[in-house]
Amino acid sequence: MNARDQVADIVIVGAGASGSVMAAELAGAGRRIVILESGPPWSPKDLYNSQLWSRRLRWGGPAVRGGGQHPFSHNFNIGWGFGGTALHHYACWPRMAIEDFREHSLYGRGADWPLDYDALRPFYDRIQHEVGISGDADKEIWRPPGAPYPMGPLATFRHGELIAEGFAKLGLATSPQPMAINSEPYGGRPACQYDGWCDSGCAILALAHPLALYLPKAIARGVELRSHVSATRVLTDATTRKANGVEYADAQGIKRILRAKLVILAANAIQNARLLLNSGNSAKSDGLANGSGLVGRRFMYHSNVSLVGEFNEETQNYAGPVAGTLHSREGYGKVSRQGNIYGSSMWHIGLAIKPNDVLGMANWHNRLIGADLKDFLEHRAPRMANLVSLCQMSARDENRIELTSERDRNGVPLARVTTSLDENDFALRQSTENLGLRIMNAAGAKDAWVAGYGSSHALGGTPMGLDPKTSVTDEYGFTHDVENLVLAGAGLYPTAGAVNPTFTIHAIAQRSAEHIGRHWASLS
Amino acid sequence: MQISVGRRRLLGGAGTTLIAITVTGATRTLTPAEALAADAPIHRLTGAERSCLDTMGEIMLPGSPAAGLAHYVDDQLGRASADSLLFARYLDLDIPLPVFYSQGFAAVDGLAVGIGGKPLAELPREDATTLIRSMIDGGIKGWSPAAAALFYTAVRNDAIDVVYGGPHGMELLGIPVMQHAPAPSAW
Repeated sequence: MNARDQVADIVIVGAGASGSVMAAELAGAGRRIVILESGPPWSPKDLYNSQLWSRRLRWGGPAVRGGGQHPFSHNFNIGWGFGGTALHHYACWPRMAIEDFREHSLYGRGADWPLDYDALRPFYDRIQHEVGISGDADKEIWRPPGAPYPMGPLATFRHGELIAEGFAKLGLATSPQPMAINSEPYGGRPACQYDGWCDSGCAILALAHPLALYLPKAIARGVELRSHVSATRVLTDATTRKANGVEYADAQGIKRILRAKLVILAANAIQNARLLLNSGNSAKSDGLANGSGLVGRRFMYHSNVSLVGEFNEETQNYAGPVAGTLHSREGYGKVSRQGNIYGSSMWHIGLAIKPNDVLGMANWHNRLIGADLKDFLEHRAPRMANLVSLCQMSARDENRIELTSERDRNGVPLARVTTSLDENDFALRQSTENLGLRIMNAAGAKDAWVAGYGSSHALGGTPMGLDPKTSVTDEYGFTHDVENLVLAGAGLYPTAGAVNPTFTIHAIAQRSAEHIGRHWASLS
Repeated sequence: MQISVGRRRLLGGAGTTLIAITVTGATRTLTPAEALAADAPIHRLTGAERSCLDTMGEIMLPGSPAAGLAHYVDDQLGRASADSLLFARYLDLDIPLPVFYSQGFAAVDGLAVGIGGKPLAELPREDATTLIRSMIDGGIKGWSPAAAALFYTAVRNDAIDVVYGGPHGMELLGIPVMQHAPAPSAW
């Protein structure tokens, strides 16, 4: 490795959704950009239609310890390698609601975002055009203003239609779910085949994961991707006020230094916080960019309830995208529930299911064994349909990422993620459980039950905000305390909302990248 | 919408590969079921652990031992955790996968001895089934309910994976496989 290999204009840690968008947007203009990714160099040919093989795409890095009453399901949620978590994501791309950005001002809860919906809207629109979202903006009555979708909605199947009938009987609206999946050929990528292999990493690239779009774009523009290299510390100049590179361990565990004018951490909410906490020195023993004391704090996820209904007809529940093609945001209003329950929720309707794996049919009833299990899978499961709620979690300091005394092979302390739902979070989830059972009954299910509770999407831990005392970064992800250090991804979320985050992650990243490009001369 | 699936592509049986074994200097790759039929060596599970696993598998999902459950788990335990296809990698364990399985089998057999003076494989089937059900129902004594539930979940899903986790298993259930990018092997 010669000296030039170790100097870049921009180093990006992490090749997932935010890192790939940042790289693609910032490439060109003579900038040398290097992405450091700790996992494997996945390419589309590594993506197989198999739930078992898809497990390779999930977290395979240093262990992340869990804690609290309601631990985050880390290894199932977090990705590993080129494409990151977005490589196995389900591609539900709703926009956040206008009120999601102003919860403190409107309701005295949580924190306001440092930007509002209007600031993000142009980037939602741009990304939507580049990626090609399918949906029906008119029928999506909860959708904030924005350009219509470039493609019509994906097809529906009986399992979704049945449950939608239950919503309708209760006077609740449903609509096509906005999906970053082609309903027709778009952008040189084919249309969805409705095969339910989304989370195996869509091999035909109908689903817009990073290997389908932004990583190839970044590479075509000259960005260098390195795999199996793990960032271990962010480096600063002697003042500790300006980032100037990254220390990393190569595949052999040898420590190396890559100097750069700008450092972008796009690893994921947990690893970004871990890296900052490990980058302190004697002057900053609580980590880097942590003047607020909030690095690692206010970690959140979306709690969810999976409900199953058994019907009198076959439901085609194997068909469609994994997250379904219908959704509902009834109940999204922060104060729309009785009993002073605060917060938003949304519904995924009619999810395509395989026999096995975490979400699989066999785990719809995990107490069944023996002949009962065989009967369930062979005779009853084909008549079932499922419904999943996604619930907002409050932002609280005690839900946090911190370092443990254990270290990985590169000497970096492991992260521990401690999470508990508070009384309101729990009540919110419970309210969706109760409503979900009513919806199933209204839909005509002869039996309905809760298949399980879960956690989705790693959010927060390095919140953005206007005030350096109460946030880690500004609205573009620049840390308040350290110049030329930018954070990207869902770790920036000050509050969680209750929609899948990948669209918003893309929009924030593109907005930040545009800002960086516009001010590049002064940065460098 | 009615989708046109056509006749599903069958990759089960002879088309799948998994376990590399060397017989008289030649290396062959076999499915777990083929490895079982060929009496391929088990490298990591002890005899007692294999008996415990097969008994749990037969109770949880009849036919899973014959599908090669023990060879599947044994082979996967020999892989680096990042390369493992075992369901247990999703359980956010604080210990390595091989340790988790060893401790689980020891706990199950320990409970069986406490109940009937014999390891699980030698208990009357009714007693063994009751023991396994207690792992998920929280009625276990002498083992953390959370740890027992995790081990139940892991082995139950291993049995499901080995029977229904590949195209052949989906065919058994009449589920369209719709593969556009078949895996190099079922497991």
